[in-house]
Amino acid sequence: MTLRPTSRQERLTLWAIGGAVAALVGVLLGTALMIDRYVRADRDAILAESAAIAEAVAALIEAHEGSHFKILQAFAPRFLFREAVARRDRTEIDRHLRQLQESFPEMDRVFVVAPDGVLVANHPPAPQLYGRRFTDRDWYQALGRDPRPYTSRVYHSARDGALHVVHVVPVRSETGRVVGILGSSRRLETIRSGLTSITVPAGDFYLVDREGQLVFHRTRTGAAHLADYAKTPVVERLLRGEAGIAETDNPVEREARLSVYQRLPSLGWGLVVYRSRDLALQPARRITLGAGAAGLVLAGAIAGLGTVALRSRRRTVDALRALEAAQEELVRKERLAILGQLAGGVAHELRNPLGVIKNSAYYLRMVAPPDERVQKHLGLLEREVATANRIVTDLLDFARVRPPERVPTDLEALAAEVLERAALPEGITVVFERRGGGPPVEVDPDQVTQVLANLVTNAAQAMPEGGTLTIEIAASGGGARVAVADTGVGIPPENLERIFQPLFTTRAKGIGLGLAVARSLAEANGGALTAESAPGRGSRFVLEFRR
Amino acid sequence: MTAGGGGASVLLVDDDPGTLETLRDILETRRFRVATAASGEAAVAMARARPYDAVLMDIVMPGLGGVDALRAIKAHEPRTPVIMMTAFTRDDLVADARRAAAVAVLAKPLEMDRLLALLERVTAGGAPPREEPR
Repeated sequence: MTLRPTSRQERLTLWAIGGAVAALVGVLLGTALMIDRYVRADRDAILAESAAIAEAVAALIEAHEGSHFKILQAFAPRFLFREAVARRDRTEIDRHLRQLQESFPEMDRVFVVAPDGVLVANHPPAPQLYGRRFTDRDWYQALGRDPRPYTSRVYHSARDGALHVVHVVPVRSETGRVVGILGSSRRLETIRSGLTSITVPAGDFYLVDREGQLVFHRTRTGAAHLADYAKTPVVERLLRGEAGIAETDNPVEREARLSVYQRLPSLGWGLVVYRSRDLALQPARRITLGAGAAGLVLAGAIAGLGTVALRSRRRTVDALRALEAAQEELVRKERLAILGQLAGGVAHELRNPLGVIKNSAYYLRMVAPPDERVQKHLGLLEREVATANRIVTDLLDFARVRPPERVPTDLEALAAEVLERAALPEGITVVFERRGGGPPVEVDPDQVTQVLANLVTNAAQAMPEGGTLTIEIAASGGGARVAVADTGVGIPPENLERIFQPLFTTRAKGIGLGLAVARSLAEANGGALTAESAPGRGSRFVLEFRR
Repeated sequence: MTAGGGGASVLLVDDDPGTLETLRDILETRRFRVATAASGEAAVAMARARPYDAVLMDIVMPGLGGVDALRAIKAHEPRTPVIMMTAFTRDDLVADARRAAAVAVLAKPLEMDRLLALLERVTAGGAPPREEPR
């Protein structure tokens, strides 16, 4: 074959075609590189997101399960309790354990073991186990090595044969000597019910103990037998003390997974958070497929895929945010629950001494000479006892959850009674406006009395220099409403909702539960409690029960 | 100061010694005759040994609790008015005490004027309105 000499025009055409092909190849190569980088970046982002989700799940579980340690640790140093443990006084320890277990029924059983491993007391009581030695248990041995809070492995209970996990903390004397072990035993079923509310976007999680025995896995419901996960590749790594992310294939469910595995330090449990790899990496795959099929329609494809990837990432970020919000809410609730229940437990011990001080002041007032200063000091005693008792009462009300017993109730009569009983300081003028009352409402009169009493106390406290307290009754929405207004300092707009949060207070006295209790009681009775305020002029609280 | 108890006998029952001491002094100043018991068991034994015009008893005590002691005292002497007091606001116990026919269930710290008025009324034989802790 001979090459025919080409004309200049033909040469130019060839060059042009060659140039175009080269440019096309260049664009294709560039695009391929871009796609590759994008896919890699997306995959990295998804791995990072999975790790972040696992972190959030870990924090949720630690907040949820770790609270039992906090309760035990708060209980162990109580003076009377630790003295009783040091004396091995079963009757007295029983009393404390009963109180603990009744306050925290989610601890299925609580017990005290002496330093020699012998069971001293338990609740609910199982006297057949008294005197039994528990030196063979991992928690006993662990506390012997290092007296710190410890979570046991999963084991079959000696009492009911069910699977349990034990949390233990040392009980120390004043000098720091370990005088016993306080433990709570919880059924796996109880633990399970607490953890099912935690969900993982496009996946799930499971928990294993220090030996790889299953503590929680949503898909294994009602497991009565130990489930040994120790041979699962990810768990093997966990047991070797490793943490990380692994892509694994689950032969049972025929599914490729992204598994993030780590230890929960305070509980000693291993956590594996897994997500379906297909689901998690879907956006990346869609990019690859899309690019291959679309061929040369590069710009459109890239723009389209970018949106898909972005949208998917936004979805995951939203899920992550929701998880974080849930975590914060849970931590707050747990903290409040612990606070409320411990407070309920110590109230008895606080109210008796308060009662004695009050009685003494009363007696002294009966017999003391009418000396002005003596009377003033007796007045101070009585007033401060009342303040202390109000705080205890707020805590108790907060801890107590009694379902309302709703009966037709006249709000006006309740308000009148509250005003009559309220010990308002001098300088406060009361105005009681009855604007046609309104029909009786279906509420628990005791609880609504308490709401009104809290509002009146709150209004009085807002006016330390005196002012006018106005109570207004009116018909509203087929029901009735009561407004309690003061002419006090007012509430800045940014605090208007926060005042109903537990433990929020701007006052030197009080712990910030009065309004929180008032709102939760109002809502429990089918009502609403709202606040409005003009800073510097006063506030107005409206309690409303519509039909 | 009013005339007070007029020599009526009151049995005070509480496991807290401070409560017993202070209540005894107040009631004796108001001319009640006061006997004290530090446990539910002791209270039941004393109430069986002789009648009292009124009993003032704590609900939460170790051993025999106030509500059980109340039932035992009522079983022996149904007409004895018994006033219960409690530092707890345990609704179930308050309801139990009510069912066991306590005259009133008062919350600690006690509102002494209310308690004294109530004691004077029941020892004078009047039928008092029921009162509950708030």
